[in-house]
Amino acid sequence: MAEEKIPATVESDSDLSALVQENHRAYWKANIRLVLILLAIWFVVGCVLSILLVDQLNKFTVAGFPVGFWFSQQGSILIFIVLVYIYASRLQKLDREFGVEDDGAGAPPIEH
Amino acid sequence: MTDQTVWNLAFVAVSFSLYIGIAIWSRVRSTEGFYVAGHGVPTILNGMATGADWMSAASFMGMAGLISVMGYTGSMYLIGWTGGYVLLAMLLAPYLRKFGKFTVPDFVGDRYYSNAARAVAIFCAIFVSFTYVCGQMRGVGIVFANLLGWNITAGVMVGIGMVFFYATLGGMKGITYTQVAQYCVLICAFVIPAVAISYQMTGNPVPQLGFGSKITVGDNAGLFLLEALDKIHSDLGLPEYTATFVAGKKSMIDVLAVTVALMVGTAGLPHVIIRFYTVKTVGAARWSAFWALIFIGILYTTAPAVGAFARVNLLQTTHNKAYTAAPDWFKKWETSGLIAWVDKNNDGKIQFGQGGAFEGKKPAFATERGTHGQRMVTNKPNDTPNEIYVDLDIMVLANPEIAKLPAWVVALVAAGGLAAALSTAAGLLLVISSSVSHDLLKRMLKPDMSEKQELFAARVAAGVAVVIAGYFGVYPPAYVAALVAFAFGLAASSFFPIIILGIFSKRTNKEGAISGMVCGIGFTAAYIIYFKFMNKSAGPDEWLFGISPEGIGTVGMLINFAVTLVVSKFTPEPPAEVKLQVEMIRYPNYHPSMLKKVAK
Repeated sequence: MAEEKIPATVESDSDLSALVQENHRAYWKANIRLVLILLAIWFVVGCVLSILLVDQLNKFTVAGFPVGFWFSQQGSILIFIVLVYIYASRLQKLDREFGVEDDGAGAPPIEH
Repeated sequence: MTDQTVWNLAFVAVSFSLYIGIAIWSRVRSTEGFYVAGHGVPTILNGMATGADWMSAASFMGMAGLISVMGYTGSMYLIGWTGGYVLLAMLLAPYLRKFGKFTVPDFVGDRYYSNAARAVAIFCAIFVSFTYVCGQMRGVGIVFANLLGWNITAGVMVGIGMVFFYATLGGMKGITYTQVAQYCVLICAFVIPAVAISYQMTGNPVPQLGFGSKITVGDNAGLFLLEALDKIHSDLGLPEYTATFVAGKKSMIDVLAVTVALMVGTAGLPHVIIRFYTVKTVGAARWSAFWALIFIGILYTTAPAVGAFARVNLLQTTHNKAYTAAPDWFKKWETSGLIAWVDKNNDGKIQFGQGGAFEGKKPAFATERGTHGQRMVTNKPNDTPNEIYVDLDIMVLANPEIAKLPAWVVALVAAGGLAAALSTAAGLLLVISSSVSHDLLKRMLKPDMSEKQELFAARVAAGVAVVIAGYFGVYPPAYVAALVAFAFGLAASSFFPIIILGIFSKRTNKEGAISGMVCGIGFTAAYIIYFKFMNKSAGPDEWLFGISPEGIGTVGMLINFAVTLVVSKFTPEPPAEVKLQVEMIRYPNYHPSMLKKVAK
């Protein structure tokens, strides 16, 4: 479906062909799937490893850090940065793949 | 004048002239420029501006000190205040940018086709921002007082003048570019002393790595930094630094609740959200969230290391040492009232231990000096072994002196503290100003006003807000600290759920959103008011599920979600037009002009 683009202007409902609508649905589904996976990692790092399982992890010490303590004061922040990077770059690819990129040219008009 | 005073004045003068120069260069003439910098801010610069906007006087001065006394428990600030950006990047920023108006109440009012929802959003935006901005103006005064020896009132006045000038002149555009400059100043001011201290104490110049290295100086040389901290703490009878949920620290459920409330609250703070309206495209909004988190992460991964270094340094250099032999910085900060010592056992030595040194939160000093030359405190001493009071803010402010860094570094830290406070204050004032001129006046009360009138109203609102915030900076109400719990709790329990549902669920309607917001805010506010003002002595046993007022926003948020979903299910669907608008938000290249035709 990658080659299917939305028409430049839409005159009526029928112009948004079934194919385009399906393309949009697929794009939205792929987006939601990616976000759910990334947020699951976010939750595991920020809440499970850093708080709920911190005592179990603190039994191990690596490079001067109790492991749970490292996750809560260093690791979680570093992993958050990586997650947002993956999100931004994957979605950029998805936008292109499904032909829905925002080129900035058609920025919404401001109503006054 | 001493060398130090000259350096301090030079750094403040140079950085302030820079901000004024940027403001004049970036002055605006349109509402679009005033509210969202014309949607034209480059991605990386918006990331920096967001970082400065977000990192307040409290992040810059207070957080490292807070972590250094809280140890593990301090992690909730680190995880909460960075984890929120993940939510912001993936669930809010790109969609709100796509929506493409000016403010958060704009979105709430339009998406829920209701001026009642808009009014609730306006109230929350103004309340949350005001709570926050008063602390920033106070922060400016405190930096001037501590580092330049001015009185707080004069410092606040200078702060008001600065923010007034560039916020009313340049609006969002002026604020954005001054924030970029302020980010550079504050991050250098934070990182340079941290690198020097890390190198001095561990031989590793990277603070994040020095944090896990062996100490090379003092009584505990050869031990890992954290190992040494745990040992020093247990020798003093304090809970270990890395200990998690032991007696004297917060419980697991409370740490979890506060962390989640801070994450969700961060994602719901209007002054952070509006920064993502300023970039050109949806993709740029995603990328600027990434850059923002990088720029914030630099400070947030350094802060816990600084906290740990400062803690070891403080305890190693002063505990069980004679007061007369205490280092210079100790006496300097005692003179400014941020350190106090009560020689309970009359041995002339400084002793740390469990509990507070005396009754009351702050020391009240007598005019005469004690037998060792120390400032006498009139507070009644507590029956604890601890003899020392240390204001948390000085961990960062005193760092350069403790590490014996040159005078210009001390001056840079002063400029950094001012940059942190001013940048956050300006961002908040813009939210207050646009809520009044755009949301309240233009969208609700007087829709026929011209752009010129609206711009004038925006400038007046910003000016009035600065003056009120300055007043509260000079005369801080006693409840300001308690109000900060409100800011995050309210942001978490009001905006976050209904914005998310507004984007991800087309079925959510105005009945659901309004009742959700009212229940979420009502519950959170009632809980905080009860435990912060009416029943202050209540502890974890009386708290609901053991959750403190700081963390209750998490429960308020869940209530908001549940009520919104259930009420929406049993009330009429939103109009087709609104559903199309949601559809429009989801696809980056869909534009409203196309949709209007489709809707016919």
